[in-house]
Amino acid sequence: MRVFLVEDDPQLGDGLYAGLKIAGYAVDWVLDGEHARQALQDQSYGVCILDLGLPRLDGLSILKELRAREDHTPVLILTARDASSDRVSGLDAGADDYLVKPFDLPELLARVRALVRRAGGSAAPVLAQGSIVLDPTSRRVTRDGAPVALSAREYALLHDLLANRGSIRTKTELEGGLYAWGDEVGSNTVEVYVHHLRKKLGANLIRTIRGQGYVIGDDE
Amino acid sequence: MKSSKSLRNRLLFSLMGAVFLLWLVFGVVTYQVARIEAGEMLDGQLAQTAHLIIAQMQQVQMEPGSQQQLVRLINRNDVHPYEQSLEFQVWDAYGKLWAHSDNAPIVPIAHHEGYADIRHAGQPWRMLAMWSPEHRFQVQVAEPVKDREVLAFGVATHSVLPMFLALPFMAGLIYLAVKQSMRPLDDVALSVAARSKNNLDPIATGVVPREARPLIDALNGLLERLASALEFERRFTSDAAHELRTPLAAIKVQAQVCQMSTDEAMRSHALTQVTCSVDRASRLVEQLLRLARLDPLSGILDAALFDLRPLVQDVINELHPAAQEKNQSLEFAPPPSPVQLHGDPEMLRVAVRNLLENAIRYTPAGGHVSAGIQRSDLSVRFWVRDTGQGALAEDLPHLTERFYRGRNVAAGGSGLGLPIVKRVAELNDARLHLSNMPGGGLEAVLEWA
Repeated sequence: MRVFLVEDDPQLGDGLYAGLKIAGYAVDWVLDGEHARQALQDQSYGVCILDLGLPRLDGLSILKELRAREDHTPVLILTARDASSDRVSGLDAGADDYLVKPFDLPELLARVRALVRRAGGSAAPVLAQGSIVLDPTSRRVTRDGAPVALSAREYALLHDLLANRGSIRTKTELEGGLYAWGDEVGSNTVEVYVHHLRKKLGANLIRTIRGQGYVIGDDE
Repeated sequence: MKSSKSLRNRLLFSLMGAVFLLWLVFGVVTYQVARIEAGEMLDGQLAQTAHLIIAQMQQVQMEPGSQQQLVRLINRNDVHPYEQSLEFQVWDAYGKLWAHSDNAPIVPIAHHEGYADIRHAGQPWRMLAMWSPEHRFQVQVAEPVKDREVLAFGVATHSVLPMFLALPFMAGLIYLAVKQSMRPLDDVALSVAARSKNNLDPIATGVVPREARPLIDALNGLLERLASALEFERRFTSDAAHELRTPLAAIKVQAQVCQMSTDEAMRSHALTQVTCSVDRASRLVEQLLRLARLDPLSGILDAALFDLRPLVQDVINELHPAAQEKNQSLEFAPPPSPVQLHGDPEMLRVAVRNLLENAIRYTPAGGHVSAGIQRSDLSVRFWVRDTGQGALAEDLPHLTERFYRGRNVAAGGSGLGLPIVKRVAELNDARLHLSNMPGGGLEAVLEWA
């Protein structure tokens, strides 16, 4: 899962970046509104964490522009203002959730998970397919109730496919969720991780759709 | 009863006092007039009595023994209250007292006819001497002046007393009139007193009497200024609180990263970031306090004459490490002779430091920051120039506003640096000019003209 972080405060941005990394997300972090707008045009993200007070272009404008072009990326706004008018204007502009500074890092991560879940059309806190269950909160995967050890990228790939269950994910889309800017991307890494996952979770879980990509579950 | 400064009481007392005084003057005048009138009347009565006695004397022969008859005839007992206690004497032509009433003052025969004021038995009397037609005898009639006073007093009392009795009613009417006139003011006072402390709306002027309008208008003006000052304070406090929230959020998040991470390098990095955020928060608090101390001042308490050059040099020396860290050059070329200024050197040191810190903060690594002092006959200009981005033209006029962030400015400053410089400049009779330099970069000038 790739997360986009827009925060102009270097220390807060750095902390959020580190926290999201620990939680297993690939994170792109920009410090001003203009960069944020460009990045959101070029790349699609699982979740966007957006500070409202930004230099060059404020968060609300970015959000409105995003929604104006029918981009439904879940957006969590961060605001230093606790006046309800600020939250209301944020939510009205198309934000899915908000947090008022200073906030709890675990709470932020929980809200990000909830946004991801809802974006995948499910309110259930765990993702499951057959005997495979993925719990985003604890980042644990079980097969028939027995825990399965996965690397961070294997987990991210499985999460991506489970969250989009039933729809085909292209190799590029899957790669986008695995790597942030500046990460080294191997030429056939997605195949490698799919291979690992099949070995650990069974050969039938992930199906290859030739020429298109991969899918978990039925591809109607 | 309210204090003596009450307009109502003053009106009440002055009006009542005026009415009472008028009544008093009226009473005295009436008494005097009545006395004069009574005097005339009683003089006439004396004359009538004298004529009457002379007429009686025509019938009574001036023989011994007939005196008693005369006295009985004149001094009857069934007197009307207003009939005065008359006394009389009758003298014969040889100057011998022939007859007199019981209490008559014994006064020698008068050589001249007419009225006279005499004293007898310790009190003043009014006396009339009159000769009979053939000068056979002289009649003297006298009456105590006291009787006249009593009569005059009675007349005066009768005309003044009703008014005196009317005085309390008058006072009541005055009280009601004054109360009624003061009512609009009372209403205004009540409505103002009933306000909550947050209600700074102007006082409605519709019902206010014309005389009170200037006061209400002035009050409304004050209310307006108060409201805008309060709004300014409110916004400032809220801005300040919000500005503090970001470093607090950073501290919390970094601390939680530290708790969550098992990687030693990551933890130590997070702790460094915590320190940075605490530094930022402290700087913000420091600047807030500085501004809070500068705000209420209306001038400089202990102004001194000082040389600007060593002051700037000190600050430059303090900031050299910060500039070196960003690989920037920091230059100051002081003029050869002292630059004497009158002001608060400690305050100006803060201003100079803020300007130089700003220049260092907003100039990219490897840039140049320079400062200098320009002197002419009329002015002293202290300038700081950098090779940063400068400010957007639209931001330039707002840079000295509290917590204003230029569109191109990343977080880092407290948002109070330039406002503090501006305030220090105001207090030290200087002006702060900010402008973009033709070749790029910002120039900040403190000018004493």
